[in-house]
Amino acid sequence: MILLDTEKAAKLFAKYDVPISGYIVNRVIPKEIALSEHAPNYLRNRYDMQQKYLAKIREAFGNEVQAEVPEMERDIAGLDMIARMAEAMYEGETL
Amino acid sequence: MTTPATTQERLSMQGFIDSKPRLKFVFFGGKGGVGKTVLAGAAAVGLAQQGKRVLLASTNPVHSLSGMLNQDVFGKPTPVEGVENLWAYEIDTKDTIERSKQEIREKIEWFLKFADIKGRADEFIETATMNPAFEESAMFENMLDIMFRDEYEMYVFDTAPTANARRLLGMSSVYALWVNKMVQSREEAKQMRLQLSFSKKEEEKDPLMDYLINFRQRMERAKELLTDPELTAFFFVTLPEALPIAVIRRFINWFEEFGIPIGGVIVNMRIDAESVSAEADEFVHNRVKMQAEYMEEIEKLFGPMVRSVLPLYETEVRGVPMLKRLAGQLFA
Ligand SMILES: Nc1ncnc2c1ncn2[C@@H]1O[C@H](COP(=O)(O)OP(=O)(O)O)[C@@H](O)[C@H]1O
Ligand SMILES: [Mg+2]
Repeated sequence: MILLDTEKAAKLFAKYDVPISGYIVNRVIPKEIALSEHAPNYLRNRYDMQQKYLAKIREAFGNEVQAEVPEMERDIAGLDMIARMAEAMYEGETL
Repeated sequence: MTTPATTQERLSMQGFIDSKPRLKFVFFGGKGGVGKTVLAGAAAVGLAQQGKRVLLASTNPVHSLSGMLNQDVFGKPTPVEGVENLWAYEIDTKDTIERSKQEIREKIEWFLKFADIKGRADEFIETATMNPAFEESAMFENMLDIMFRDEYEMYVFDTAPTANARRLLGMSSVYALWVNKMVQSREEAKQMRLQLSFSKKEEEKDPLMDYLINFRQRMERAKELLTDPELTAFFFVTLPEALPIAVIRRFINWFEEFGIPIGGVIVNMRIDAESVSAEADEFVHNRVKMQAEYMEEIEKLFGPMVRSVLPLYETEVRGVPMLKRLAGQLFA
């Protein structure tokens, strides 16, 4: 769904020559947590689903994907969480 | 559960529905991804099971009803397999947008001619229709058409056109003034032209005027239906998380300000703490703890408006059996 919207936006940007610098995938569930022995089922299922869509994303946007940001243990509110988010975003940077 | 601070009676979803026997238009609003579509589906299934003839309609440009129902419901109201009394309908917005573009083109061309302005309508049309509000307006028009056609006992709309409803209702007095003013100045302009022209040719049709008058009537009718608390209810969906809560707080403030009836708040995706094993990763326990904190905040902010708290299921919500299960919990 969000994937479809993003593709639509990208086409629109292209039509008006607005450059796109890349894509960021947010809220990726970390593998170690999802596949750990005691992970709740909902998390494992969501992980499986995400992996399916991640494959599609990598296929659609390929090396334009700048970063995959992991899902945090709580929502992003306050400077601490924003700082952690920033770290996660620039960690995988390839520029 | 803590008791709400106010003495206001706390109604469950079922209690609320029972208290509104004439309820006809049901909407779900909230941040993206909180479960509006799924809850619209569950509400529609539940209401149909209670014997109402229900239409579940989506006006979104990117639809999700067919995916949720595992059934193609695009283009026309389609009976939902496995639920009596329920139809689902994804409206073709592209079609509407093309039609509106065509209408706008005609109006602009007519206006350019009327005002003796040389120029091509295309540029104006491009500017008018690139606007994101244009798509939303098309959705809103589609919604009004369905409401006015009045072929079902109840309507459940996937995704409240919140911004539009707000614009419409908040601005409707301004709209009325504006349209009246437009109508008046067009009358005057026409009189002038008539006086100036020597040829007493038959008075031409005035498509702009017709449009304005028709538009005013539609808006008045929409306002009547959408502000009647016996007919209409907007439900706001949130998760036990900061942003979704902030979003519905804002919506609720707008809606109260404009007198749009609020049906209540629904909390979705609550993790069942019982189901989380003690040895589970800290990550998971922290999530559960975070949710508990936000549940307290929700209680403080919305208290008696909370109609239902729904669990996070192990998989995404798809197919009629799962919607029935969710409906059971929504109306429990
Ligand atoms: N209680 C729930 N448990 C598990 N998954 C849910 C629940 N509610 C919604 N979902 C899933 O979350 C995703 C987003 O829900 P959706 O209804 O499409 O949100 P919205 O319409 O608000 O954007 C969907 O994949 C849906 O199946
Ligand atoms: Mg939706």
